[in-house]
Amino acid sequence: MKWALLGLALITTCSQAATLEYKSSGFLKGEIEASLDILPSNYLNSVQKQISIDEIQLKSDALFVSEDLCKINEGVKFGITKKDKISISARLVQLAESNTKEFNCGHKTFRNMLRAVIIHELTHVKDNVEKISTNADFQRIVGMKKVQKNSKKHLMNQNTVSSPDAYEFENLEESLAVNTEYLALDPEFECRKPATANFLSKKLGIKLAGTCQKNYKVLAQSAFVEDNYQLSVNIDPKRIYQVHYLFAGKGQALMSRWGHAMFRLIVCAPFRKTVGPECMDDVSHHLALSYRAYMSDINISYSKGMFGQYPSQLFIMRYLEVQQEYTKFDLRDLYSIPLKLTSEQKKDFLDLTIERFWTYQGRYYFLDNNCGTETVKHLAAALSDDESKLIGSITPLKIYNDIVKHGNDLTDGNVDGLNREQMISGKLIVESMFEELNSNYQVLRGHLESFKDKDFKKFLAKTTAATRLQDYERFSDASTNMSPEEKRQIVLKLVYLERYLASRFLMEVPKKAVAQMNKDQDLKNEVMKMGESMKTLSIQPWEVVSARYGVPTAPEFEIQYPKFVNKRQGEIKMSIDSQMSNLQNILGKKYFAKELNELEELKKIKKLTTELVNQVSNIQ
Amino acid sequence: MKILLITLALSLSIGNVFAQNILQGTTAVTLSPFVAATRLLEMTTAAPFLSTLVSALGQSRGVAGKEQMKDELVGLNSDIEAGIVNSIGEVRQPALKEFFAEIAADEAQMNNIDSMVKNGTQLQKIATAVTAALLSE
Repeated sequence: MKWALLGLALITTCSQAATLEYKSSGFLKGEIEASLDILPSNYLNSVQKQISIDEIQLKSDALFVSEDLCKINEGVKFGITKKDKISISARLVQLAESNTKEFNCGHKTFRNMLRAVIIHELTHVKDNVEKISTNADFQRIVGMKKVQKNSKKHLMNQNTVSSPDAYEFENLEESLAVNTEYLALDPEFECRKPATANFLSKKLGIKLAGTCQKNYKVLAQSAFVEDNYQLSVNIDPKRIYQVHYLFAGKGQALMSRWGHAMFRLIVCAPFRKTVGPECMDDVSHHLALSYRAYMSDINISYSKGMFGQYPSQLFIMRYLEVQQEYTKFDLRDLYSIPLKLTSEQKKDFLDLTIERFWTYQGRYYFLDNNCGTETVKHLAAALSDDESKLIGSITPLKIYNDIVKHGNDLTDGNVDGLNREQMISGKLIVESMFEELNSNYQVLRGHLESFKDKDFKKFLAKTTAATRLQDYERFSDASTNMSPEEKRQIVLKLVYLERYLASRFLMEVPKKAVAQMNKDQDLKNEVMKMGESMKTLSIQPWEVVSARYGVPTAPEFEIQYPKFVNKRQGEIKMSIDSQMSNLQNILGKKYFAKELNELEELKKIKKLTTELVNQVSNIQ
Repeated sequence: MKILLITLALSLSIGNVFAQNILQGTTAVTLSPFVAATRLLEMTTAAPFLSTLVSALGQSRGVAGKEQMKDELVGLNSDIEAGIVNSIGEVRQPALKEFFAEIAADEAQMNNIDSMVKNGTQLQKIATAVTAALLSE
């Protein structure tokens, strides 16, 4: 026993540290002793004061009627700390002694709950001196908008579903105390909240039990309903070659003017025996980590985005999907910069990744809690204090500049000062498809009448399938005397361009439907039905695999996930059928006559280009 | 969009003579995977294998991964036609390069491909089969 306990007398924990005083029954005394035994012997060394622990009838004990640990009324307090005076609920002490039943929630028994309360309250006393709850890394891990000096600030994370005890979100102090309870008492805590556990273990000196098996499996989310949550990926640090800062250049939309900040995990293919540079080739296994606003509405509201009404979450997607999204559909460059992380930092980063993926739901503010700030907080939690100070910016481009700055030494290899070509050849930039499309377009300009705008973007804004079809028909007639090689080249380029134009057109139709929907109640109904159908497939990771709390353990994952995948197949088919039906009804509305016409013309283009392809294929 | 994609792929064909060369065993100087792929699609015996390959593609790559490969086919074809690329290690299109390497490492898949595409280098044979698989969707 590490602590000398003398009943009503003062207890000195060690010569220069805190003293504990309590007037308690034998039972509570024993529980205090047991709780103190769990904590390190120097836990209260910094508290150079006398701490009293008393069992008293708290006001809220009147509400504390249930004998079911999982059905405790709201407002019930188990303990209160005022400065160095700890009061423990007499009702809790009584239940801890008399009720030995095991429950399927929280600390499982009233006895454990009592110990948790003792640890919780002692942690408050310690925190009052050491200010652990306002530590910057702690705040980054548990989810604060900005690093605060005030420990009474609410947490931004409010995902009660994945929390062991929603009281952790009350403020930073409570977050520290609640998480410390679980660290001390639940051997699974270090696997369920690994980043929090690592931090607290180091700060509080509470040893990790090392008895649970951490589950590094995450689920790939996708904008394509048929792919969403259909793939699980193991991001065990041993299988990750590098972590990259992934930065999408400036976009056209208001919310993407500053670019988009993400991470890329270079996940090695399962067949590889060693983890090294060769894993750069395993692109289909790479993942993108992207903090985004979770929008289940069909319509994006800027005001909701301004005022934090969308949840901010860490999305994990296949890297190639993100590459398509930015380089093809948004025509933006994608920068992939390898970060210089030690193996310990990489592990911390990935621990936070799984904890965030399964437990985090903050608030997205377009201006000050966005992809940039969330990304910096995530990275800074893994970096040393000195390193994290080097990334002082919050916009994706400026974060990029901070990261690549040679003097900061944050990248794996020097990237600072490389020109664009060097970065492309070094695979540090994946180019937007714009240049390739533009070069094809410029060649076609000499042959097709409606391709007269020198500026490809102007052409994109104005072109219609009908005018292009006329061009292609003229070209088909006029090209009979053209050299076979030249004709083949032109056909190749125009079909390539048509593929892009068709996909671009198809992407725009739903946006127009949303923009028009307020003009017509029927249309609105169809759009809303479509939105509802999509919503049924819009699901959170913690709904896919329901953990006791935090990150699911391997058994929780392995039992639930396959069942989800099986059930999902049917739901996806139904949703797609329903959406197609809605889309047909939408396109039948008068507002979409132009779109319907465009579709018809695109079909004709397809027919004509197929003929052209056959012609060039038969050129001997 | 799928149909347009097929059109695109077909548009890269050079001439049937090359396709016949690949499938009938004559050594071709320059091989276009698109031409060979269109011929492969016409072979009834190829259908089950291509279907398996497509299914594997979907499961492992998802919609976006397949789209990426389709986008990359254009560049690959140009590179092969131009003689810039002669082996899987030289392929400059990352998603295709990875998939080709996976297939090359799979003996059963390679046996299937060898039985359908008689001639050409390993790269040309795999490129033909993958192109056909993507076109057959």
